[in-house]
Amino acid sequence: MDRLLLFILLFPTITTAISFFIGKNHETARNAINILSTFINLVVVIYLYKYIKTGTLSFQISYVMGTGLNLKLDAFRYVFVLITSFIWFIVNIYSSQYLFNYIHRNRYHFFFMVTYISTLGIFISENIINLFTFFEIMSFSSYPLIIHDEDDEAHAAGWTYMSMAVAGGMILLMGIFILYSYTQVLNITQISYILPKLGSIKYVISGLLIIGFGIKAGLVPFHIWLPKAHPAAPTPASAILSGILVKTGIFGILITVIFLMNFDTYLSFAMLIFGFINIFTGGILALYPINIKKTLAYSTMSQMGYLFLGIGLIGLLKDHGYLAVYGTMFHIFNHAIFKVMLFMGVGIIYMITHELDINKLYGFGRFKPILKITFFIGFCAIIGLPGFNGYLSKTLIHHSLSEYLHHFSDFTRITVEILFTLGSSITTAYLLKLYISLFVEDNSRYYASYRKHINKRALFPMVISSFIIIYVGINPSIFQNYFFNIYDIFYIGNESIHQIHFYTFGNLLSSFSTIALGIVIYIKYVLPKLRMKKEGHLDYVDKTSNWVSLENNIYIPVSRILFNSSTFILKIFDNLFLKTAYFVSHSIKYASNVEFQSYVNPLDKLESVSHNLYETFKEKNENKKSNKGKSIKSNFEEKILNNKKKDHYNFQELEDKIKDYKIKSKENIKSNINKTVETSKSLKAKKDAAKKLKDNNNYTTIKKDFEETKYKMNSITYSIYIIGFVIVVVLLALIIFNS
Amino acid sequence: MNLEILLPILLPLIVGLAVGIVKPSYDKRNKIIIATTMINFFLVLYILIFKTNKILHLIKINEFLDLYLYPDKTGIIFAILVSSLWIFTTFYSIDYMGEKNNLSKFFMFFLITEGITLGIAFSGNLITLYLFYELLTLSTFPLVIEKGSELALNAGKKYLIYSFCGATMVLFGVILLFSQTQNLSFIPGGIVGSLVYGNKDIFLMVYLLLFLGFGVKAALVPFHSWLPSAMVAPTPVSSLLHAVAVVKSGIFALGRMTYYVLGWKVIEFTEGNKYTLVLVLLTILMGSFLAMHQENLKRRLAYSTISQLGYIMLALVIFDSSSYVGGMLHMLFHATIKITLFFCVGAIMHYENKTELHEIAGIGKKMPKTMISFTVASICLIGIPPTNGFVSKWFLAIGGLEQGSYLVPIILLLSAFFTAGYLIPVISTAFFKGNPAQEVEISEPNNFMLVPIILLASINVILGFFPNAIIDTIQLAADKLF
Repeated sequence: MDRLLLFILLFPTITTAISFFIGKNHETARNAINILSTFINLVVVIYLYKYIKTGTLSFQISYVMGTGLNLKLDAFRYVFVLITSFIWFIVNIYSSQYLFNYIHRNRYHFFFMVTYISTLGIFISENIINLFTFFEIMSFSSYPLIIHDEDDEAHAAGWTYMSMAVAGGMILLMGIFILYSYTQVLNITQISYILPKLGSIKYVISGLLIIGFGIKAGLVPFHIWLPKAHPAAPTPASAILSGILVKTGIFGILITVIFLMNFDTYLSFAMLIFGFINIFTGGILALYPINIKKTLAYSTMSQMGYLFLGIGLIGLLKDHGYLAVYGTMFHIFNHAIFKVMLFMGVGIIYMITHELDINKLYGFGRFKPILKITFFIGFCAIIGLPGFNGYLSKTLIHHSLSEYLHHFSDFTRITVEILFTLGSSITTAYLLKLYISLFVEDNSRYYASYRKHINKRALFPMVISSFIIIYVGINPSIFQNYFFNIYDIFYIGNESIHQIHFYTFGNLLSSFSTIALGIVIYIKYVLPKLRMKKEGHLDYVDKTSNWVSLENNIYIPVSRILFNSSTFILKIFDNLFLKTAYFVSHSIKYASNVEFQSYVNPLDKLESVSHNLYETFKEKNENKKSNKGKSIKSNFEEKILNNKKKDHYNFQELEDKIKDYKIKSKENIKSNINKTVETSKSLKAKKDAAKKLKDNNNYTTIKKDFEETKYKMNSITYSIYIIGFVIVVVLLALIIFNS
Repeated sequence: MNLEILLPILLPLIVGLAVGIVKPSYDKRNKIIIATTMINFFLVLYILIFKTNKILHLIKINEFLDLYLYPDKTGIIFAILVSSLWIFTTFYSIDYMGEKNNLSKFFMFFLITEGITLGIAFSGNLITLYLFYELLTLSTFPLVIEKGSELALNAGKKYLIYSFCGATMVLFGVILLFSQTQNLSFIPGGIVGSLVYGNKDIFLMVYLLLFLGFGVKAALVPFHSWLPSAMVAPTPVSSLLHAVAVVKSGIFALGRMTYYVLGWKVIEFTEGNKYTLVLVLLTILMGSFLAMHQENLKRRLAYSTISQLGYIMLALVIFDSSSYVGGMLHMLFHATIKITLFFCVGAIMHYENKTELHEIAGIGKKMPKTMISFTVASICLIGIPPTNGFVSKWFLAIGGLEQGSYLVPIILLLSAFFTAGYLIPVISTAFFKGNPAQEVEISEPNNFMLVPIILLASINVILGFFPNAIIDTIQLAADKLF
């Protein structure tokens, strides 16, 4: 049965390959194969439940990929694998309908499935190199999904995403390198025995790993790709990006902080702080955007804050962390389901209207019952309304937070409680903005029913998700009953496991007060302050466009400075040798033309005769030379002026001209002395002329020609000077070394 | 007599000269060349099986000028790499150069270069290596200036001057070395041994001279400028020279010098590797960083080669068995990856006449198989698992860390980031830019070009999944040296 672990990776690989090749001509067959293969995978995963109820599954192949393949599935990883398979199945059904009028469908489905396989691989890897492998494959295969529309917005989003993903991968790899050099083992369980015993280097290692995974999970300040990638990608891709791919980062951080570092206190406390930072940053930034997908992207970032909080609490509470473990794992499960559902709802709106602007979409869903109800269910789930699943997980995290704060002062306790409540109410506020604007306002444009545009295939996943949300909400202990052996993995002592009563008065009161506070924020801040009257309707405005943008004001200028300074330094090295040789030879050439004064001598007569000969010879050359110089210079100027009219630069003509010049000059010039100062002056004149006209000239070929002609010297001179230079340096070195 | 060792060197030389003199027609010439390269490959395999570690004396004039051939394991690995990649390049260049009639000179020097490279692989001592090294410069010069344009002639002149200056330094180093040791043969562990105690400065001088001299051919910064200029040569020449023959010969000679002539313990004693480490790290950074600035695709790949050669040279300046394994692996893997990249770029140049980055927008729809192979090879070069580039990078970084230097992995990863920075824009422009709704018909290159490209790309991926056989072989060699 261990082979089933390999099966859930290999089987989709084979079906994806088949479906890619037949997908070019038979679209329905390809969609059918993909949906079927995800469905079979889901069935197999559900079947594997009975094995992980009692123990763990593992599977190994050595001697592959250098370090071997090591797969493992236990109850903790099973949660991730289950939601991955389920979400991919329903989004697959959804995207077969969504993409029907997009181009490049084949490419999309191929990379969709490859991302699925690699994400599954991340969650079942036991060897840290395998985890890194699948992590990188997932990053690279989600890039074509983001860039799918191929317009400017998509390319900008893809550029940010890719550079952060590659940088994250490199940081992660650095952490793994240092890890391996200290521990010499690669399996997670084995590392967890050795790593906590190292000195302070373990914080460097885990810091690098957390940053590497955190870039994927949306940890502040590495979250900048999230609000760019989500609006630019097609909706099913945004759904899985928010629902599952950021969870891979959470998975990695959880493994690092809890398992590799063995419930380390400092790291967990840092996670607690980061959790609150994320909740607030994401929440506040989600109040402003006009693009509805951007709101949902910031909402993901905020919900990830809850998960960081949960991870921190698991680490801090250690064996008493029953509530923290329960809450975190439950929230991972819930968030995947309701976030994907919200995205799918937004996607249906986009499918019909091709608009994402909240000011153009207001009142869209007022008379569309199914969409309205399902979206409302998702909305209630995420704000934590009692009766829905979000309420359960948020209550658990809230409880574990207060349990941790037991031994702190009252002041700290009350402050943290207020912060937590405030964070949750901001969630209510921004989602209320979205819901009321889309589904409650009145807009005569959208009175008609668009029933015929929406196929059952698109609504079916949403309906299924809503059923799950309500079902879990009504049966709160369902999660506990199925996943009770997670606690053994987290070393939770048996005495702290107790039955939770979710629907107590205290919990209900805190939940309702949070929601009420959120409604108050909405009414007092969002409605009056964020709207302006435009064409008879109160439109939302985005006030954050004047704020400091992390990406544009910090990341890009810093990287630009680094880039330009490194270019400057490294370009010096690039041309160092060449320019030194040129400088030396040019200066010696110049020195060789200096004339010395001659004495009065009996041989004067002879000298004067030869001097006269030399003068006439020089004059002859000067005439020819100045003509040549003039012709080249005027030729160049002519050419450059002509190109202002012409579109295409004629390289061949220039080549011929240079050839002409070379041949004629070769006939006249026989030795070094013939390279007079005039030649260098004419070169200089050429350079000045080119510099003057540089602004009108965008062709790099001309510049290249200039560079080439600058270095066109007599080869013998060139080589003699270089060899002489080398010999002089070597002799000097010998002298130094032997003294 | 072990005369068979001379055969793989002589056969291409003779056939090359014959092709150049007789000037056969297009079909006959193709058949002769393909046959020669294939037979050569099998001859090298024959030497692997039967004639390893056997000496063949060529000429002995005096103690100094003693030429002999001695194929040992390292040499045979290099020879197998060279001869197998020559077969792919032969097929590629038959399609690339076309049916022009005056190509006999090109193929003559093409084959002669193969013979000389195999001579470098099989050399038994430093003077034989130097002889074949000089001949390599001479025989590749006509290939570089094949086009005959002004730019090509200048590039060839630059190439000659750089190479001969490097060779002069090498000769000086060889003479100094001989004066101290009276011996120039290749023995694992080096021939200097205890002579270094007391003569530290002379051996430091020898090491630096030999390193810089061979480094010119291996594109060490600051002697690397000939490589981007030599890109004016036709693509089979650029790919072969700058992935296999010339630059890898430089690296091979450096390896021989470090481990078989001087010995790493001697170099560590003279502390010469600290100076050369600085140059190597600079090479790695500069090559990959400046590659991002190049618009011309072939120049981009040339700077990329400079940086990747720095990776291999890390094996020669950090004396650790993991980095040695990593360097040797990278020597093999980089050759296949770089040849694939150059072949793809050459196919674009030949069939579409597009050389700059902004011109190839949307070309992935027209030549999907070619560009997919390019993508696969780029991912291997960046070092993403599960490809072969990751394996070699892993060993190199672990070796650096074992020697206690955090700078080496950081620079390796920084360079990998820049590698992604100059390769991903090419892939992105090829596939995701240009008019998306435009229908273009697929016009792939000819099979003679396409099949080598796809084969090489798949070899890269297969080597990434199953590298263990090669790792074990090289690990055995490394254990003997350390």
